[in-house]
Parts: sequence; structure tokens; C-alpha cells
Amino acid sequence: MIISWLYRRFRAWREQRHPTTAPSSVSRVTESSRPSAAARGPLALLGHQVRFDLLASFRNPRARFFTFVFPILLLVVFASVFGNHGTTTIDGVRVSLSRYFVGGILALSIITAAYASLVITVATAREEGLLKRRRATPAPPAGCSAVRRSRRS
Amino acid sequence: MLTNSLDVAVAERLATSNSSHAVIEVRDLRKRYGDKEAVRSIDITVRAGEIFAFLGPNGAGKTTTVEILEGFRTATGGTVEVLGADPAHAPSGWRERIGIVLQESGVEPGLTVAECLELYAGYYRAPRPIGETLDLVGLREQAEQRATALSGGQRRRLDVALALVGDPELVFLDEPTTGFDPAARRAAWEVIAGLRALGKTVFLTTHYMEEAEQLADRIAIIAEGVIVAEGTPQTLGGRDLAGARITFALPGGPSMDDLPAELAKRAGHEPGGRVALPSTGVAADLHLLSGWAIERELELNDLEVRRPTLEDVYLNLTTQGSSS
Repeated sequence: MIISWLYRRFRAWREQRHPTTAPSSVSRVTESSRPSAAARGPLALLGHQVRFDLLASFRNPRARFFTFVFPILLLVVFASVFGNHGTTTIDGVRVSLSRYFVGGILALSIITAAYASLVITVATAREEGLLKRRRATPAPPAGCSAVRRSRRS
Repeated sequence: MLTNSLDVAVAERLATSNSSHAVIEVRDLRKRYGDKEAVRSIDITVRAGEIFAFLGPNGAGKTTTVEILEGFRTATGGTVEVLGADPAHAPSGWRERIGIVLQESGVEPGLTVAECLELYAGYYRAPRPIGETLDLVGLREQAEQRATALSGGQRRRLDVALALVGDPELVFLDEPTTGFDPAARRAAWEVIAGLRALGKTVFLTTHYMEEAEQLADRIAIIAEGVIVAEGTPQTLGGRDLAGARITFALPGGPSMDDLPAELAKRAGHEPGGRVALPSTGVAADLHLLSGWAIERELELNDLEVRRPTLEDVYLNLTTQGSSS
């Protein structure tokens, strides 16, 4: 697919510019003497969870595609096919079709990202036993699921 | 069942004489699912710093018991105390002190091994340093790999690492080496033995007798919801008191009737033409037997003395349990 091809090209280009010689995260962690997220309070814990869930989400090609690429693709296709010469009437006001599509597609992509992906990830996490493992930790269960619910938007 | 009650009595005496305190204390635990009583009054005591192996066939109530101890299920009756609290109504901070390796759990998608540990370390107030945890399970080299790219054995080691990153006092390991190749199993045993060196208490469930024998200080066997035996790997089920079996092959000439009278009474033929001799005084019997053989200038081929293995004891106990 052209999108994945473009993405691979982009990755290769980025790799060229910034070779991944960043300090290993192990040494970064072992050297830090900062108290853990849980020790710094519920807000820090929330931030901690958001950080890693976002990281995992960005690294998931499917999530990345449907969150970022797919809506833009839809916008380009719809706006270029219908947008140039066409208007529609909403509540008695004439609006150009391109404007009409922008709003609709934006709303659609937010809903997809926030809810459809949520259903998939929570179901997968449950099936694979990830939720149970998190329940085995002292992290409050409500916090984990709340973050999952909010992170996809 | 006489030997079992003996074992229990011995274990109880040990419990009272030992000064280290009980980490897990279970009395008269019962769990009922509808009509089925999965766990029927079991007692368990696990003391600080010991590795306790919990064995039993599938469906014997093993997982139910462990999940009650972990606070994932509630008991129908009896008292359960883990680290001084009832797991079903544990105070906050209780989970800081235990680590759980579940029977099967997926890995965090998209995160590297080090990131997984960093994520879980954040859940605990006083986590163990991540580099140290990686060294403990031998995953330092894989720290930057995606967790999903690990091999089966490495994933299991990551599971152990995630349970240890909170620096718990008590670790539950639910069948930690199922599906491992022999080399990976050895490596996992070293990790678990390392926990003992750190002074952790380990509650281990397993199907492998060899594993229990290698690692455990004490073993309990559950069958049909009751504990049928408890003891050290050496004494379990009266194994140390049970008789041994001497087997050998007689070359051509003399028949079994030529044996010294005292041995001939007990001797019997085994399939394959070998002679089997159940014995409770191995030294005396061997002396008699070898004296007899030297007198006749015989060679006793394939002479073997065998005591019941832990597996023999286990199979014996668990099949007894299911037939009663």
C-alpha cells in the first residue's frame, strides 16, 4: 500500500538523520534516583500510565494508520471528488461541500480513535491476561482503565 | 493415610519450633462453585523465606486456592491470611508486598523489555532498580528488544521480572516453566533459586515433580480439593520410610529357588526375566545376596536398588485420591 510505503521511506529518512544512538533506556532508568510514579502521587501515576500507553499506541501501526493517516486520506478523497463545485443546505444555510466534509470526517475520526480502538485494545488486553496482571499490581484498577479510555482521543 | 497424618504432625511440629513467622496461613479453606466443592477444608502454612511447592493434577483445586491467596477470588469458608491480611479485603499497600507470575499473560504490545519494567516499576512505591531486575532474570541483553519479539522462555522470564520489579516479600509462581525446553527450565530454576538467596518467600505451583524436588523446601499435594500429603521432598508421603526395590538378572544357571531362603520368600519375577526383591533392610539384603553370588561365582547383572521417586509418590497419592 502506498501509505505504508511512504511511512517506511519516512522512517528510513529519519533513521539517516538521527541514528538511534540515544542512551539506552536501561541506564537512564537505573541512574535516575527519582521516586517512582506511585510514590509521587496519583497524578504522577496517571501521567506515567498515559505516557506508556501513548508510546505503545504510537508504535502500533494499525492504531497509527487509523488515527492519523486514514482521516487525512478520507478528507483528501472526499474533498477532491465532491468539494470543488457543490454546495449543500443545512438548516437553510448554503455550505460548500468541502466544508461540510471537513467537519463530518473530523468528528468521525475522533469517534473512531476514541471508541472503536478502545474496544479493540481493552478486549485484547483482557484476552491476553494483561488486565489481570495489572490487577496484581498496587496500581488502582480504575486509574488504568480510565487512562485507556481517555488516551485514544 | 497413616503416613500422611504423620507428615502433617511432623510439619506442625516444625512450624511451632521454627522461629520464622508464617507468611501464608490458611485454615479450613473451602470454596464452592454451585454444587461442586472445589476446595474442601485445606490448611496451609508457609513460613518466611521458604519455597513452598503446591502440586496437584488439573482440576484438583490448585488454581482456585492460589487465586484465593492472591485475592482474585473469595473463599466460601475458612480463614486466609497472607502477609497478615485477608487477601479478599486487603488494605492498600498489601499488593506492594506481593509479586504474581500468572499462568499465562500476554506482553505489553509495542513496548521494549526495559519499558515494560519501567511501566510496572512506576506502580510500586519502592521498586527494585530496573537494571538489577534485568540481571536477576538474565534479560539484560534483550532490554532494548520489543517484548513481543522475545522467545517463549524469555517472555516467561520477563513475566518473572515484572513480578519482581516491585521488590515483593512473597512471590506467587503459577506453573512458571510449562512449555520450556530443558535448558530454559534449568535457567528458570536458577532464577527461582536466586529468589531464595534474596530471602523471598515463594509459593510455587507446578506439574513437574523434578521441579518441586529441585527447588522446594516443602511440598503439599492437593487432589480432589483436599491436601493428601505434605512434607519435604525427601519425606513426602513417607517416601523415606517406604521400602526400596532390589532388582537384578540371574544369568542362565541357578534359578530363583537357589537363592538364600530368606530372600527367596520375597523374590518375584518381573517382566523381562529380572528378579525383583522388595526390601526394607537394603544393606542386610544386599550383603546376603552378594555373599550368595560370590560363593557361586555369579555375576549379578543389572543390579539396581530403587526407592520410590517423588513422581511415584505423587501418582500414587493423586490416583488414590480420585478413586476414593
